[in-house]
Amino acid sequence: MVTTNEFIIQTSGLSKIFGESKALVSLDLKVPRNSIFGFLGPNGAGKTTTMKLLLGHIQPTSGSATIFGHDIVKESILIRQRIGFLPQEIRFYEYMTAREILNFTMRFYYSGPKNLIKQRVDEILKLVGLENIADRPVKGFSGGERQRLGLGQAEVNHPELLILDEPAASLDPLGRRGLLKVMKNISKDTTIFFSTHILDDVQKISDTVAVLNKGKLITQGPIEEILKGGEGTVYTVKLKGADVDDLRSRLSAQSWISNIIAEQVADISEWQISVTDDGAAEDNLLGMVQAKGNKVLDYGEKKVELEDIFIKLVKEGGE
Amino acid sequence: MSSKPENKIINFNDFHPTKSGGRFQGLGNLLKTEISRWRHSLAWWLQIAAVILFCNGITLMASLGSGGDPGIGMMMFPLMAGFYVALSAMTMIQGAVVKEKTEGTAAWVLSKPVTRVGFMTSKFITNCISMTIALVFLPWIVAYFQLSLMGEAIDLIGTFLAMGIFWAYCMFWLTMALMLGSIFKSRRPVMTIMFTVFFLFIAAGSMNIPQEINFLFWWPGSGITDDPLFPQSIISNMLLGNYYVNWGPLILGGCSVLFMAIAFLRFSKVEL
Repeated sequence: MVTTNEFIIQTSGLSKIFGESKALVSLDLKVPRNSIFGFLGPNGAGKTTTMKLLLGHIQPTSGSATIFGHDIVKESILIRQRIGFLPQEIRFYEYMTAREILNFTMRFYYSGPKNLIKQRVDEILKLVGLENIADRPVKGFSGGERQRLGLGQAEVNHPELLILDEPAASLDPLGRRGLLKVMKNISKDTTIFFSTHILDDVQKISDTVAVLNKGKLITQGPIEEILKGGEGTVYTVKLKGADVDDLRSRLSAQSWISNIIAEQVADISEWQISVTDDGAAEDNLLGMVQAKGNKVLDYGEKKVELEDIFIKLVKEGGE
Repeated sequence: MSSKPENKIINFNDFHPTKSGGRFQGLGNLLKTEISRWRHSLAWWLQIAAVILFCNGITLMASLGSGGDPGIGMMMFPLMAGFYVALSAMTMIQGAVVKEKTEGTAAWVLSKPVTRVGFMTSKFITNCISMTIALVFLPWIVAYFQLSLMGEAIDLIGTFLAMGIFWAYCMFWLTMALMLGSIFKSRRPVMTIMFTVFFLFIAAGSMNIPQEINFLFWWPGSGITDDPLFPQSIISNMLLGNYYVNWGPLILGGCSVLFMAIAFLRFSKVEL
């Protein structure tokens, strides 16, 4: 089975059953080359199971998958030569120092030259900000330091594909911001496939996402398309002194308006107006709400958050 | 975290890719790392000191306590060494595989280009070398000189043959630990089974087991030969130059091969 160059990971009907529990149900996933692919889902959705399958840590019950065109079951070693992996809870040999761990990891890929390996290890230590504690055994490392070392060991061989399982889960806000920056920079020449439940991170750096719930794929595609697939464009308007009933009836008469939500406190009313025709809304909506002497305090297009879409998709797909 | 990766400083085409090791891919790196750890580990040197102190020390005390009778020492040494090996296997070596499985280090290593055969082989080779040096070679060399100096006519070739038999006994415990580690998900069943086997070996010595099946429970401490011409243990006979052996050690060797085969087979399918 050979994949096209367009997709670095392709799964077809990939399933995994543990006893009675269906951890993954017929997953058809396509991860485009050079993308930052956010793999979303609530806890227990099957994200880690998918990653373990891709790495050859567990065997699929049915279905198949390829990475770089290599079968994940039969050609796992060929795949692992070209990827880097950061598990959700990384465990190292505790007696080793950060430098020794990077050297140990590097030697699985390269036998020399020694000076270049040393240079690469130093470079990674600097990249993940561990150069000052590089020669301390990792048993004394904090969760954040372990996570950064985990990212370093995943990147040390300069892989074509990075698979990161909840990379930001144990990081504080500053650590998370740093991690996202590093991921963004690495993505210039590496495809990143990462799972997370921190939707803000995905919206900040991902260009493609997939949503998984209860082992089933709910949706996948470019993030812009996923965001558009919510409720269409929504305008938020804040008015002073408006006749709510009159305005509601005038707006409801428009064919390009699909939904109106209005809340009034004293003489201030707040509106959420969903539209199906962006052009008609741009041309007419502001004029309509300003009519009859209404004072517009605030007017704008509501930014659709990935979180809203995610919750909607998960509810529709599995509840 | 620095936000400026410097990947482009290094040209990865200048690196020498590690040669493919086929079914043993990754073994070289794992062996190099583990053996280097021992050489720099105080615990390993303390282990050697402890085994010599325990086995050779008790042998010496028993001999002196019996008025300098080297025969007592010759009986005590294999018994103590056999006991120490089983104890080491149950306390330390039992974790070689199961600990890496439960703690997640096996999953980390196997996310690199390392085959499962390579991983399991590294566990066997590193522990085999460690046991051979610490539990077989050094205490037996000390015992050879110790017993010789006490006036016993110890046969050099016989000593090496006895060491070989004792080594097979060590491998029995090592391969059992690796096999059980590949089967179970926690240390408790591994330790329980190993202790039960050890208990059976010891108990067999004090039970009236028919001569015909006595060799099934052979261990260096209780290995009385079933041949009336050689009333002492196999190892004591070997040390005196009586190159006698029964099925006991051979069965242990066969078990080791079987255990290792099961360990490889099971670990190739284990879910990490």
